Amino acid sequence: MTVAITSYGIVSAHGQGLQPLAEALRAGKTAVGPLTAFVAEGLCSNLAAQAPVETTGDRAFGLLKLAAEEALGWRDWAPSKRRAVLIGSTKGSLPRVLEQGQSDPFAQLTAWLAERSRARGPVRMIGAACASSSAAVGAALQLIDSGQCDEAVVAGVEALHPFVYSGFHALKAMSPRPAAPFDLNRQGLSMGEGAAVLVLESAASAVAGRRKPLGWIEGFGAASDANDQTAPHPEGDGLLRACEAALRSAQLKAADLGRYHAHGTATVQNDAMEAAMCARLFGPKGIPLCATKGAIGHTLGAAGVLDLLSCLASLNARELWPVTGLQELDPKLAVDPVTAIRAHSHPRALIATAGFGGINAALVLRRNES
Amino acid sequence: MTAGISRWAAWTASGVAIGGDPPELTPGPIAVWNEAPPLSKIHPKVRRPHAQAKALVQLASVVLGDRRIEGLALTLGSASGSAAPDREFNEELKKKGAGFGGPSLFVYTLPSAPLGEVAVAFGAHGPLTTVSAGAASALTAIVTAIDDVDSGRAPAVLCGGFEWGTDADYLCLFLIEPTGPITITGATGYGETPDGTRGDVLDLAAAVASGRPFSLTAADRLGFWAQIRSTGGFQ
Repeated sequence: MTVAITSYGIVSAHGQGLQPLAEALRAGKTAVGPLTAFVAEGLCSNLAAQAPVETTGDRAFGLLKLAAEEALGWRDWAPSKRRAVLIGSTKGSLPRVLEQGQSDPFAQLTAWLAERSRARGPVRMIGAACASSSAAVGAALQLIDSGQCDEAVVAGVEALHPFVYSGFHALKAMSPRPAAPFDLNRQGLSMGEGAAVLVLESAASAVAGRRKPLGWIEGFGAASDANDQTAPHPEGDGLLRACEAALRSAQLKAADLGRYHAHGTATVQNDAMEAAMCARLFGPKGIPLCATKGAIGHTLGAAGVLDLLSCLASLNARELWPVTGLQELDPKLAVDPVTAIRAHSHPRALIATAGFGGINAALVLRRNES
Repeated sequence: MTAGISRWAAWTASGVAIGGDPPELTPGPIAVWNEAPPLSKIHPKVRRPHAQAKALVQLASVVLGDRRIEGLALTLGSASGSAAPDREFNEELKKKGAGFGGPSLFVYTLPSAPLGEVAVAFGAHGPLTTVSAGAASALTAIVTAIDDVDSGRAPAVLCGGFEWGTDADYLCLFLIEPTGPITITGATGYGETPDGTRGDVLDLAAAVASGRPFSLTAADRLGFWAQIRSTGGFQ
């Protein structure tokens, strides 16, 4: 199971494109700041990582369009029944439900991306809580690997909305200061927004189209905790199963990996769960741990693809980038987070995502060596 | 492709059917089910479930019975997803203020939340996803379930569809396994809808119950379609 990434587009709280995000991650710079998109008076936080881009109409649709034009705009797209479109999101175009009386917050996004890429194969939205866009990548891998499709346009999108912000306040999951993954004094997550669009192809399709692979996705796995609706399994049972499944599908072992890109929400429970899982998967030797949510906030259903592109940028730079926001490692967490930029030539990473409902997903990513 | 439907159940405003002909899809919320298994018996860990999640757990319990399948995957299609709990939570915020939404209700404002409850109740450790493809959502979910079982990615998938807080609510679940009473195949796509009898997930239940081979196509005005056929008839 190996597919090539041949194009991408991204909008994050550090702006449009991967370069500004990569520069910020290298510098350990956070985009979490005062929330201006709406009023958060009386809530446990007034911070968020807002994308500094103008959009009109529905915000999620606007973010998706920006990322899609960057990913798709350079290529002529002939209609193809062997091209899929898969989008991961938790809330999609939520205002359509809350303000316009519609029941379906996803169909418009999916249909638009299908028309834009002239996909005539499988087209659908995938919901898996905060692992939604990772699950969408996994679904694309399976469609390509099984021979049903040659390529897939995969997206993750999430917009900031007062509804969701109030919900995370209700859950007491948000931090009053910028998120600090794996830090002794972490107090929760920072909300974020963004979108990313990937074009994934079989190696044969990329060669036939003379498109250079920018990276390779080698494996995918998913599993459920079956333990609790909101709290992750304390020992990371489900995430471990997902990571092991991803490694099996890539025909690799944990020792073949060079870094672990954590979900790293900076909630007390998530980071403890991931540390426990890492100890079980990687053993006492450990592995360098990276995380990006201190820099761009938690983008919920879009997090998987934003993490994937962040990780790809650092793999291609042959570097490890620091965990933004981490100042003092929680001594109870037996992990090896990256605290300063350092050279690192290992080409392969494991990327983890986890969500409510005990949903877990993992991807194996390798840079292109040529 | 070999995958079969071994059990199914459906719940609409007209009533509940476990195997056999599904109830008619009529306007309104799902009917009261007096014989529904009590949640305290089938999911004692649950705290304050949304009605949507409660109903799904109850219907899943009659499809799964006493079986606990290691690695069971869950895939449900829905266009409305969590629209009903979304509206309820939004009303709560309007009434009480932004800082006073109930956490137990917010948890259910994810389309995947009812399935998460099913996973906890029945120890389903496999992948869990919801699928949205307009009016083709439920059949799309069943097609992906067929793929997952046929390819060996999952030993079994509890799949189907639900709509909640719509003009005509329903829940419909199928258990897909490598071999079952009916062998089936499926495909999905976008654009021009292929030939086949038009129908939805409840028509699939009726077709399965009829004992005859079938070809069923669900299509949405936006272009999503999914098609399911019984290839080998009855085993």
